[in-house]
Amino acid sequence: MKAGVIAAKEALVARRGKRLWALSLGVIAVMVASMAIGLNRTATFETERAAAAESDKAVWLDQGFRNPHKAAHFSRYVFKPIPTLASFDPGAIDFGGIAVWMEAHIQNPSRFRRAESTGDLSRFVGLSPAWVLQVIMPLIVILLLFGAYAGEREDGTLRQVMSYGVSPGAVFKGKLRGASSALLKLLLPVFALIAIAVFVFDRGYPQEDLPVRLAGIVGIYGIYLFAFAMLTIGVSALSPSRRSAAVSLLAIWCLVTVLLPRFANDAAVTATPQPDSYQTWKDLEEIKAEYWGVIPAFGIPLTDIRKREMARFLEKFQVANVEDAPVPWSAWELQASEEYSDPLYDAYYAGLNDLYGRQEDTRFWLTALSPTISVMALSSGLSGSDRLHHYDFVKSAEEHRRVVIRQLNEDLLYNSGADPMVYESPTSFWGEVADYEAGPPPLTNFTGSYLPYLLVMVLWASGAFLFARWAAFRAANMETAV
Amino acid sequence: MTSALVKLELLRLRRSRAAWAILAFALFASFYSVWSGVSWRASHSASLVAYEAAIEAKMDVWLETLVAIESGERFATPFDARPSQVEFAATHPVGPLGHLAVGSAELLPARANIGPLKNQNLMVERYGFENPTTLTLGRFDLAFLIVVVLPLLMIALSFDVIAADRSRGTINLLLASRASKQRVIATRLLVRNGILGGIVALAVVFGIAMAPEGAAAFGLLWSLVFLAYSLFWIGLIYLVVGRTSRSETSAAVLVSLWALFTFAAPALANSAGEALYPLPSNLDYLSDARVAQNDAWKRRPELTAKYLSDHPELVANEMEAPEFAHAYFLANVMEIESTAPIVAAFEDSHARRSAFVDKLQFTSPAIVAQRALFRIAGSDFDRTLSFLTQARAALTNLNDELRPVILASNRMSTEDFAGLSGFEFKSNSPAAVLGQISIPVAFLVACLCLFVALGRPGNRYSPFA
Repeated sequence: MKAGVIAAKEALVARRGKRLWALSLGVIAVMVASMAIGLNRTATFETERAAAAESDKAVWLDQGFRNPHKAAHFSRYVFKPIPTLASFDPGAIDFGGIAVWMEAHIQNPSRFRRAESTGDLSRFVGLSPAWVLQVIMPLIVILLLFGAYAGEREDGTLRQVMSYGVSPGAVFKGKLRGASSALLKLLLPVFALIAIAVFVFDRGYPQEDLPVRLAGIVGIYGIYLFAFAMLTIGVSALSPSRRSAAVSLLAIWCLVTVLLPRFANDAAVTATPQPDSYQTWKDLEEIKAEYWGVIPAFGIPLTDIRKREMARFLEKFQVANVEDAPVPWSAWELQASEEYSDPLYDAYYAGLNDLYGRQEDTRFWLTALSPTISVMALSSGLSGSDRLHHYDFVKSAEEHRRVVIRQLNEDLLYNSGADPMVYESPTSFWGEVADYEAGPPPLTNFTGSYLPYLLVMVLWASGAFLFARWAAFRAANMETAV
Repeated sequence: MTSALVKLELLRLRRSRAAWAILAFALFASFYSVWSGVSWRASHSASLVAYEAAIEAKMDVWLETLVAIESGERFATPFDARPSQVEFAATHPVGPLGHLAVGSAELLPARANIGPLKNQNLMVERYGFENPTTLTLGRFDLAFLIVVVLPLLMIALSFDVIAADRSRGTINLLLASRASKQRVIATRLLVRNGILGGIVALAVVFGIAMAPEGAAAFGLLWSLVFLAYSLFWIGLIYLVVGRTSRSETSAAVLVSLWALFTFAAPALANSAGEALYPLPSNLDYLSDARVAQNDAWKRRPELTAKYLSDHPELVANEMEAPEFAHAYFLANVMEIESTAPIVAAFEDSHARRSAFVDKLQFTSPAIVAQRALFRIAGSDFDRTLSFLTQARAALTNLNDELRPVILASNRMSTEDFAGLSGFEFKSNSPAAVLGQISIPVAFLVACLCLFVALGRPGNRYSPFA
């Protein structure tokens, strides 16, 4: 008897049992519902973002005559584009701010987290296609395969098969092919549905590398569910009965997909506490005040930093007094103060980013116990909805802030004449200030960050395969021995 | 007979490695969750206290300057002790049992700066520096343990409460004694879940003991919900295990019900609430606020002149205040007025969504328990919304009180300063919370009664009929 015959028998049993069809239909129904919710959310968010960006521009252009530094305090907002694949996996999109105020003097954090207005129920679970694949699909795999060996042993058919002289390897290969075929039948319509939804119906911000990201998503979920399938076959082979296989696998499912991800999350923030918002904001304000001493700095003695900057200014224009320079000192030092604090903000935000990284490192170590943690990280990364993509947005918003503020300061510097405080830019000037146009970053920016998670997934799948093979051979040999 | 059943069950539990593993996990997880919540509470509360102290210290200096100016000890510059510089800290304290249910509290704003140079948009102090990845899944707090994990542990401990005897062939021997199947199941369920519940109850008591003073009544309510929810699950397990003959079927049905109640129903209720009662977008609010600020900026001379022509008695300023003080104040007042409809729409939509979820909560005991536990703990979304509403009201009050002196560029007196209303957060009393949770808890108890009634041997639907 060949492995192909066993695989064909597995397929026949699955067809006759109608379990596969029922589960496929159920999964597709849940996927359609969750995808529809995701598409609707992304379309709504993108519409809101576009409207807000439009309104922000209209207000900016409608300022009339205004001092450019006062305009820099009013400034503009940058709004985060919601990528197409956020419909599939919203990841951390709802938990990172979606707007950044590009104010003068300070790098503001992103604001308006959508999760703040979703209410308490969202703390249970957010229904998304990714969540269905991460949590529900492993359960379906378990329900399909828990009887693979345990059922045959219980019914006595495993011993019968072995008595025909079939090798344990052939039985295992047959089961493997049967499981893979069932998995493919389950997953192909699901992935086809996701692809159609994303390419045809999605109204999110276009991602240029969408096909690569989608291929990555298919790959990682394939590996993830393969690992679960192998784990199920292995546990089934070790279990004396369907009952004990089902119960052990349900316990593993609960632990791996529900409890450990949440526990890993809590352990991460317990080991490395979240930054205190009050202290963080105070630190940022201190950076803002470092150049000036205090803001507003009218009548306050010059700080050492300002004195050094003034010396540089006098030297550059080869004058003894600031009044003799061809450009106003007060306008010059507005830009000088920005350039002084820019690297300080960079370092501070990089420090915050390191802290987040340490939290995620703690979480990463627990991927050894739960591949769900890995697949969550990879899935949101491939969808462009994770913290790394958010941080990229924050950085690009900050780069744009620096361009805008420089433009405003230079207008003051070169066009204000002797008294920058009373100068007002002409209304036409506001249109010269560039709009923020950056879209979602390419995946290649972060490839290195995802490799460890991918490695863990591959290790999990390989380990599960070896475990299943070992358990299957052991089960077959025991039947032969009896 | 019952005592013999209890002793036998205790003996079986003692010999079961799986039971030991489940109970050890419950012990670790429940005390860990309390400890994690207590450490969050300590750091969050300390941060709020530090914020209040910083604002108070700032205002102390301001007041000292004003006193010195009034007494003539100090020459007043245009920037000293102006009414536009008045600030009060508004903080949203952690709820009485906030450490047992962190909930949305780690996500929502808890600090606001009430001052005439602030508007509704900017009065909330900058926040949101937390890692979005770790916020996504939420905390492993005691509320999560009770609502999501505890039923699962109860199922793991109880799914084979009678089926194991069936598969071992000892069921007839057991029933040959005077004990009915109903009594065997009930006794075993109570013994197994009594020990499990006792462990979690210890953590609950420990958690309540770690609460600040005055939380005893809330602790009592929390215990009541914990008990009702646990009994609901015992009742449900009792019905299911009695109806099914195979333990894997029991396990599959119970885990399916658990997934339905703790995942599917909340997710669907949440999605339905979002779809049927969408909240006005924060970005729309921001757009309206900025339009209003810009308009106010452009119309500031006209607005100031209009106000002062209506109140000529106020034009007696001792020293011209900086122009930006008027400008910001007027812009902020205009922003508050122009965004009032969107704020009202937000509150209205939220109230309607909340009322909708209040009805939908009866589709799942997990939603009932979560909402009740969050409300008692003071970690619910409504409490934060109430804080923000109170802070906005305080800002409007303060603006009304300070408007005459700011627009007339006058300096306020120390006496006037002492009369300002400030901010004090008003939270729900235990009686009010009891009113909110009484129907949901009664629903859990009613379900339990239904399960018991259905389980009576005389009932045609009884698994024991």
